Amino acid sequence: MKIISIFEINKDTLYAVQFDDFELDEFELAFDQWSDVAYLEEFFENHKKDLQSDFYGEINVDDAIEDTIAEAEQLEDRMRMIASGKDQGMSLTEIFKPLDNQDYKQGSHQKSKATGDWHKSWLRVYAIKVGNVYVVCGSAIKLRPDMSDREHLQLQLRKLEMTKNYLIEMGVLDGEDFEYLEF
Amino acid sequence: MAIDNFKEKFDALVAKEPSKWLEKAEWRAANRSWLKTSQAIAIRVNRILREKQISQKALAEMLNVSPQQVSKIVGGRANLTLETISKLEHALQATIISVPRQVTHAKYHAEISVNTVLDKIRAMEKIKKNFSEWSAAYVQPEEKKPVYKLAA
Repeated sequence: MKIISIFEINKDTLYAVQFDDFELDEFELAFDQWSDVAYLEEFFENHKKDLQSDFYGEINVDDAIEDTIAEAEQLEDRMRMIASGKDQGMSLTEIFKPLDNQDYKQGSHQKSKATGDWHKSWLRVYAIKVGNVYVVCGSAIKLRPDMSDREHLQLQLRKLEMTKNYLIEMGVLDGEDFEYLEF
Repeated sequence: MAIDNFKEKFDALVAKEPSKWLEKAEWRAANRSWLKTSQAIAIRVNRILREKQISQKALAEMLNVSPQQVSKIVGGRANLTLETISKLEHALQATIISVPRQVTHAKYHAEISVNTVLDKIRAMEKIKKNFSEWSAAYVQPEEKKPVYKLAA
């Protein structure tokens, strides 16, 4: 595993991990996948039951692809604005929220997620926050309220744990901090 | 408990090469207009491939292009030419795009004008015919007056 710098502005800094055997870092991968029609078509076909559940209502695969691309564009535009430093009023603190929906208090060390702007957004970027530094560990299209009952969402939780353990191993994090903020 | 010299230690872990995300994001934003069309075409192509159970590999063979080119087409990242779209439609035996036909304003009015003139001519011919019939029936031809000439 290695850590890749995404951009750095003022006090907020965004990084992403690149896992072994992967060609792209997790942040780059997220936006590549969310603009890839073939990837999205296969994903929504494989998760059609979740897509057309009561949680999101009736939506067909083709509409879901279009919505995802449009939503990802909005999120990406927002991140570009922050990266360019053009929008001084916007910061990563406003984009990333605590992973646990019940926990709205942002501590110094916690697992965080960024979501698209749309209501009931299903786009997720997962990160570990250390001080003012965000380390992106993964991403997902989350069609279920719970992360624990779908393999692709469990994988994201494992990526968070792996990154946390890596940072502890490298002497950057104190394990106790994570125990304190574990969700 | 905060780690001493956290940022210093963290920076030591960071790779020298930055993420390519920003470069890609700028490209996507700059090319968004045609990418939208390419993505709409890709949605249609993926739908047909699934319905007809055609693999990407098979499509590449049908089009005689590389699998990488097909990957760009179905991914919605290909800046397609009309020739390629035509080949796609032929290979998939389906319409991929259609251009709406519209009666132009000028043409519409030209047709109206021509029809109006033709109607007027027909109406005048009818009046002329009716007048001829009426005049033949009711108007007496003028009597020919004798022509007087001096005798030589």
